[in-house]
Amino acid sequence: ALEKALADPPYGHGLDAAQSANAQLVSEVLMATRAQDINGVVAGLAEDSRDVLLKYIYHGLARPAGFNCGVLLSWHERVVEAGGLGSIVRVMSDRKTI
Amino acid sequence: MSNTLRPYLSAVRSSLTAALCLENFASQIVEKHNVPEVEAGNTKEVLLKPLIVSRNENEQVLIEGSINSVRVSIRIKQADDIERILAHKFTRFLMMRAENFVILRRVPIKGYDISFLVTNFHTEQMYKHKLVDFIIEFMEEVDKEISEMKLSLNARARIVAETYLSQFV
Repeated sequence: ALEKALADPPYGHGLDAAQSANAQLVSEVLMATRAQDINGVVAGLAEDSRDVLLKYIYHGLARPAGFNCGVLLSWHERVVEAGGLGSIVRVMSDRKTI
Repeated sequence: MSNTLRPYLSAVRSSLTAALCLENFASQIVEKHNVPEVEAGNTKEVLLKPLIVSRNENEQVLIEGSINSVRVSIRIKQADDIERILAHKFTRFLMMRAENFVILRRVPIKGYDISFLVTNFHTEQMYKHKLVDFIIEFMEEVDKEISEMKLSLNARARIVAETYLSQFV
C-alpha cells in the first residue's frame, strides 16, 4: 500500500490541495503500520520511493499541527538507517516540492 | 511524550550532519568577497531546501543549508509566562556573548528563540561531529537549565516572602 501512495507524487507549484491530500494519505499509511513492521516495509522499498517517503516525512514534520510527529520521527530514524545521510541530502537539494 | 525525545534528537543529529557538508564558495556577485550564502540569499542556486524537524508544536528546529553555511534555529519549549521570560533572558545572555561562542548568531530568526550560523571556515577549523554534538547537547541542556532556574526562582521567592511576612505575624 505504501508503494502505491509514494508512486507519482504531485510535483510542482499551485498544487496545494493535491499535495496536502497526498501527504495526509501517506501519513495515514505510516500510522497504520505497527512498530515491528516498519523495518520490513522500509527494507522493501526501492531507493527512489525511499527518497520520496523521506520527503513526505519532512513535509509532515514541518506541520506539527496536522501530523503525528512521534510516528514520523520513528519512521525517519528507520529510513535514514536504510538510506544513509545521502537520502537526506537528496531531499534538501531536490527543487521539486511534493 | 518523553519517548519522542530520543528519536527527535537523532533526527536532528542526522539532518544536521547531512546539512553540514560545506565548502568554500566565493561570492558570485562581488569580486573577492566571501559571504555565508544562507545569510546573503542572493544566489538562489546555492541554497538548499530548509528542513524543519519538530517534536510537537512548541519544539522545533529549522535547518537552512547552503553551499558554504548552515543556519540552525531552535524553538525552546516554553510552557508558561515564567518560562518565557527565563528563556528570553537566557538566550539574550548567550547571544550578547556571541563572539565567544563563534557559531552563535546575535539575533534569532523570527519565530525561533536562538540561532546558530556555521560556515565552511568553522567546519575547517573544528570537527564536524563535535559541532553537531555541541548543538544537540545544547538542545538537551537548555531545557534542564530553564526548569532548574524556575525551581530556584520559586524557592527564592518563597523564602523572601516568608521572611518578609513573618514580621507581621
